[in-house]
Amino acid sequence: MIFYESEHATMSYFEREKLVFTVYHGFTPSDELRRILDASLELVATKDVELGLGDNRNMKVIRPADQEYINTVWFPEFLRLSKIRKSATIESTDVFNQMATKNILKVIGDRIPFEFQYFDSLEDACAWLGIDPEILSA
Amino acid sequence: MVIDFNQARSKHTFFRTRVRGFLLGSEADPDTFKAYLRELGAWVEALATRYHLEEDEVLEANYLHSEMTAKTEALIKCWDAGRETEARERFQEMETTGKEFLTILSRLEQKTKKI
Repeated sequence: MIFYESEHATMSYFEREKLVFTVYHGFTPSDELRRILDASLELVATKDVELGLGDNRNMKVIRPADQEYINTVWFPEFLRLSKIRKSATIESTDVFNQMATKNILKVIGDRIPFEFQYFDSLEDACAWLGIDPEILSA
Repeated sequence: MVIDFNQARSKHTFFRTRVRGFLLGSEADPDTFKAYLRELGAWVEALATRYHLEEDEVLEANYLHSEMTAKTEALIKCWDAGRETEARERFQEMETTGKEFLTILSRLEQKTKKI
């Protein structure tokens, strides 16, 4: 089921796999990014979520103020609410998103209590999570 | 480190002048000002890829440039749909973002003088 959808991102929940799958479609304005982050908190608080998959290939820059928000507000709340045990991310091809992600991981990387890994392809990420990639396009 | 910040300021000035011309009817083709915006984007990208700057201001400049690009597309859409008042409102929003962009450039310029 689609849990959140806008022109900037789509967040889907797969009940059987206990998976949340988020795809970013391109540049995401600050206020929209925060709506997406809020939606992810609502999802982990109300559904049984154990696996996370993020397709960030088309994601662009995360502005410094939003990096700070992720580190200090969103991440602690996410840790409090979620029972996630494995999370896979397909890295963005955008150099500015890579810089921003590196900054975020520098701050919170050591505090991530679940298995977390980057992948180049959706297929590899799905294999690592133990899910069939076909379900994502169904 | 010598980075030509005035080049970026000029590209931004040309861009906003051409957009204003578009709204006043003296500039028919949006591609002319979109080209300046693309050049400005390439200039910002070079801060990371050529000069390897990792300052917050570089990320913020890229963010504001992306925002200007999104607002420009919205402005063109409004104009093409005949919603001229809305297009002018988008221009005002773009002006605000542009001012923020120039402020960030100046801050980064000061920082790079010390490198």
